[in-house]
Amino acid sequence: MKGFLPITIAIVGLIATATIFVALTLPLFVLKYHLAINIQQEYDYNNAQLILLTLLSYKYNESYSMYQVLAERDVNGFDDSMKAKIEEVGKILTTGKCFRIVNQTSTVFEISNCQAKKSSGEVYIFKPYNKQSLVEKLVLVYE
Amino acid sequence: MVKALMSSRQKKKSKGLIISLSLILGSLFVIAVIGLIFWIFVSRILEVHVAVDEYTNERHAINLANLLLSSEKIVYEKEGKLMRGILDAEKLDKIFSREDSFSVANPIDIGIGYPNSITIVRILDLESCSASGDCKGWAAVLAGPTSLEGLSMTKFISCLSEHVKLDVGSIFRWAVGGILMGLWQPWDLKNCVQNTIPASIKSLFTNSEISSEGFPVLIKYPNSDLHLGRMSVAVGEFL
Repeated sequence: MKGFLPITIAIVGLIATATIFVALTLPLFVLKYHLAINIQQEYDYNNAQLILLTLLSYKYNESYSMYQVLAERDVNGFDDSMKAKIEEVGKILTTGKCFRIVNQTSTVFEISNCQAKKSSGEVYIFKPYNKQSLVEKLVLVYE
Repeated sequence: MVKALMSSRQKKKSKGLIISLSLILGSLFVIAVIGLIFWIFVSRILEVHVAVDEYTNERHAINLANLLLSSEKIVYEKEGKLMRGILDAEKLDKIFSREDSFSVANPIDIGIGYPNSITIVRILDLESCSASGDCKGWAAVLAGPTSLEGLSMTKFISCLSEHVKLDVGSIFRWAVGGILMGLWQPWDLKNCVQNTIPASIKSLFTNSEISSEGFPVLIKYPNSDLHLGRMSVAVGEFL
């Protein structure tokens, strides 16, 4: 039985060392991980809001803004050239990331072959001549 | 008979001692190895940063960018209303420097900034970029009020301007080979902090994709042209 004592001491020492090691290092990783995620979320939210704001303020052509394109799409139509312009500007603003614009009930615009679902920013726009509601919430979702 | 019995007992005792000694030494060796691994990990591999302060620093950069994007000093005004995210090129010309006249050595005070800090603000017109990635734009160094004893912002900025000259192209370069260009380089900062900032003062600088990527903006020119742009804000703080 006496022969087991050193083994017991070694095992206890090993466990104690491992416990101290984990106890010292693990909180550092957990803390850093949480802080990193929080700041990234803060940036992504701000970025998404500004992308949407910039997109809506941008011009579609000399007399028509992107805001009007999206707000009056049910009245004036929403053709392929309009969608192409949104895709072109959106890709510059999102630095080439996948994105889509949705409202409360449906998808307003999305790039084919990609399904964005990570970060989002939202903005309310006026929707003239709309029977259901004169205000629409647009949400930009991007990767 | 008795002698043989005693000899056998002595042998057993010494055998037990040898086993115990080797096990203790083995255990000590294992503990020493674990301790050594831990020491190597802590001293060579694990790099402990003051995460809370650093991320506060990143948050300050985001807050400052948001503030600037709504500030009447640079934002376009339409019928008395500030258009958030739309920058007025005429206002920028008055406060910021263009790409041909920008110098880190000339900080300005527009009343926006954190105390004991240095901020570089870069605004790039993305519709004016050349094939090599060089863009037209504006930049400024904003210096906040100094209250720390022994901190000479002038010395630090002077040192930074000497080194940033080497990378001056990067200030007005949006991306090279798909990689976004930061506003300052870590080696420039490290060198200047070592040479001009007292060891008792802690230095924290934004050094992430957040400050390099910046936020999207629109730039309104006097001829009513609207251009897509990008505003990046890098903050360095001394505590």
